[in-house]
Amino acid sequence: MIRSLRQAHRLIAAGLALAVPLAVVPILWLRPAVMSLPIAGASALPRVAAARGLRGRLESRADGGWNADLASDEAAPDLLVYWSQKGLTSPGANAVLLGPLLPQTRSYAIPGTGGVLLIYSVAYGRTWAVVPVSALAPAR
Amino acid sequence: MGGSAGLGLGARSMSTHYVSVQWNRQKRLYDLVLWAGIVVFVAVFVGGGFVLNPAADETTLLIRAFGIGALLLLHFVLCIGPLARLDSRFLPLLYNRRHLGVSTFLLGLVHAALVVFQYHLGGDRNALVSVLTSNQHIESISRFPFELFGVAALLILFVMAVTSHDFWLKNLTPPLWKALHMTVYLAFVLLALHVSLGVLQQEHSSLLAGLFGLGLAMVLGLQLWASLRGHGLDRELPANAEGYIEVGPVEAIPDGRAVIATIAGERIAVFRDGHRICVLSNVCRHQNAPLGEGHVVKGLVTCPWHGYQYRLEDGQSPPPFTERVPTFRVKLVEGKIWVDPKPNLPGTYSEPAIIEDNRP
Repeated sequence: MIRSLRQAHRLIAAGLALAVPLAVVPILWLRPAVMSLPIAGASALPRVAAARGLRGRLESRADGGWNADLASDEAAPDLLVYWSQKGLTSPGANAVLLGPLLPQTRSYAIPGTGGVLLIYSVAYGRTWAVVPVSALAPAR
Repeated sequence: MGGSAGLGLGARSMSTHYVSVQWNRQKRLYDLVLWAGIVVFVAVFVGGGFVLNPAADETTLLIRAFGIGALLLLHFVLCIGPLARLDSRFLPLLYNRRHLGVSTFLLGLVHAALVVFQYHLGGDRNALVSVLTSNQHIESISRFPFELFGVAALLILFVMAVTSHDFWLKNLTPPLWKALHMTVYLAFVLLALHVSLGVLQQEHSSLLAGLFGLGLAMVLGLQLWASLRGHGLDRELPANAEGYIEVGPVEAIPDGRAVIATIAGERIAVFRDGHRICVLSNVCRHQNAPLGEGHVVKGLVTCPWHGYQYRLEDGQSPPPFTERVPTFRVKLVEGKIWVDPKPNLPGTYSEPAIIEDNRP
């Protein structure tokens, strides 16, 4: 390199050595340890679901069934809600897709009694939380 | 002309006739190894992903494999330069570094295309508009629109990839071309932000964050180390009453090699070839590489980066090549080398200084 470019390169190297750690370290330091926000009614939910910012309650329907009102503060963009009567821990042939999990509260009609709600991330290809329906507190 | 023949330029001039990419055995082998490595990496990453998590989505695994592959390759590219400056054993890696850079862009492009396919293609908005506008959480660190950093980095890598050819190097001139390609550091910063604000906000493994930090530290540390180490060479040496500058004793130069010094605002290379001492500009005409780090082969200095060669006594590439670098007048006084700081025109013959007793 010619001298002017060497000097520019030296300045860039010194600048990056200072600026990149200053930018990246706080970004990593401030990230939530687990993607979470405090949730209402957390005591009724399994700890892992509560820690992940999941809010939920049961609402009775006119037909005698139950709706699960769920919301999540989670940032993951692709969480889907499944229901499984057999207590599966990942979606399978016996799991019923109820819909996407949203930040705002949404009602999901539970097609049967009991069972578990699976919150599943398509992008990560893994179950994000398993919530027994019985753990959701009925609405008052 | 071994070096230039190695470049595959045949009987053509390096400068008077532009010729398209000259593939040769070394380049083919280099690219073969490179792309075999990439294929193996992607296969192992995706296969391992399925083993660890059988329910994983294959597109997601591919997105990550190509993204991580591009990031790793960029780290490697950015380490080659400083490593070669710190230890000449790494110089062969410089020969085809541009192919690594283009491969980095291609991996990034596949990563971006898969992301568009997976997350933005099925909506009611144009997919590219969706990439740029779907995430507007600029108030949040964990939800920040990290995609924009990736798009900006990819654009920079694209410009670098399309101008990586010697056609652009020749037409933009080496200083401008080098300045343009120094935007790779901006791309590196953008990718660091893309990763730290993106996937590392959702993957909470300390190991991943640690490896990412280690990679950043390695690149930045090597760049800083190499640039500071070369800083001392840029100190101007004082001239004597005749205007000549002493650059050191003859014994300091191993036979067939050079010492580098800075005079008249630029570096020179003082070569010893047997009993001859010759001085050339340290700046190769091809990519402004440091000629003084090259070897003398049969009276020709061979550029350590791409094998361009110049005669020691006149700075002229041997026929049929036409590259020329400036020469400098030199004399020996009591075993000390003195150089006239006024450069001769490129290609001008300058009488070598002769070591009388040919001391080792």
